Amino acid sequence: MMMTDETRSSREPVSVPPAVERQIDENLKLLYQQQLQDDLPDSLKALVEKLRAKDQKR
Amino acid sequence: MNQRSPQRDEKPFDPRDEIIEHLPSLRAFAMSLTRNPSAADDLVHDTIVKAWSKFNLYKPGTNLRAWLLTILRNTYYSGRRKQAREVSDTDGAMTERLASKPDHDGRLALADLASAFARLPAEQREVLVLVGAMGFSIEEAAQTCGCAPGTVKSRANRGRRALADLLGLNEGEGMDLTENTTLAVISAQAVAG
Repeated sequence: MMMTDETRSSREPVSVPPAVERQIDENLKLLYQQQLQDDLPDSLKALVEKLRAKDQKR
Repeated sequence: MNQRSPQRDEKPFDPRDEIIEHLPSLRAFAMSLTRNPSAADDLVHDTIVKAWSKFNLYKPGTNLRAWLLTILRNTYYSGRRKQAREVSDTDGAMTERLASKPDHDGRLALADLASAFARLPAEQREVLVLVGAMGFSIEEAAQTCGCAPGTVKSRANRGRRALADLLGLNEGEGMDLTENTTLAVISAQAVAG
């Protein structure tokens, strides 16, 4: 089930303890850093070059 | 004395020259929103095209990455409104792949985090990526998302709480995701996807 704002009781404490927050953020950074290292598709780089070349023709 | 003339040597700042270095961030943010590599690439493609046509609106000296992420975010939600529904099949396939039975404990932990993260609403995923992973301040994230700082805080708190609940995290309970093998496996999964 998708966790939504509506599915959680408003009386329930929302914040996690600081240590858990730090732990989650550090591991989200790991996931994010890993994605940053993924090779970019050539199509995206080619698109930028195409747009740049188009500008230069003007 | 050899004094360089700033007028002659300094090239005016052109965001078009900088966009390439922001593509990895754009793609990672797109992945967090779409949870699908192909859809993420399409989203980044559309974002580049839109940004290119709007660079005259960009204010030099302001945060270019945040400006680009805002365009990407708006493009994503605009597309979602057009579709009128989530791409549930694609999401399900991604979640299933990430949550597949692991061979190692480390792999289990990171795969579980990715799987739990994919179950959060997009509004919580985006603020967790901006604030938790990218290190944006609450104010920067609020500007990027076009909402109040209090909303960003609330969404980030709810997102972290949901992750902690889904992962069964309690204070002092470790989540060891630092093994290189873990990262290598997740990377391979991302490429295969």
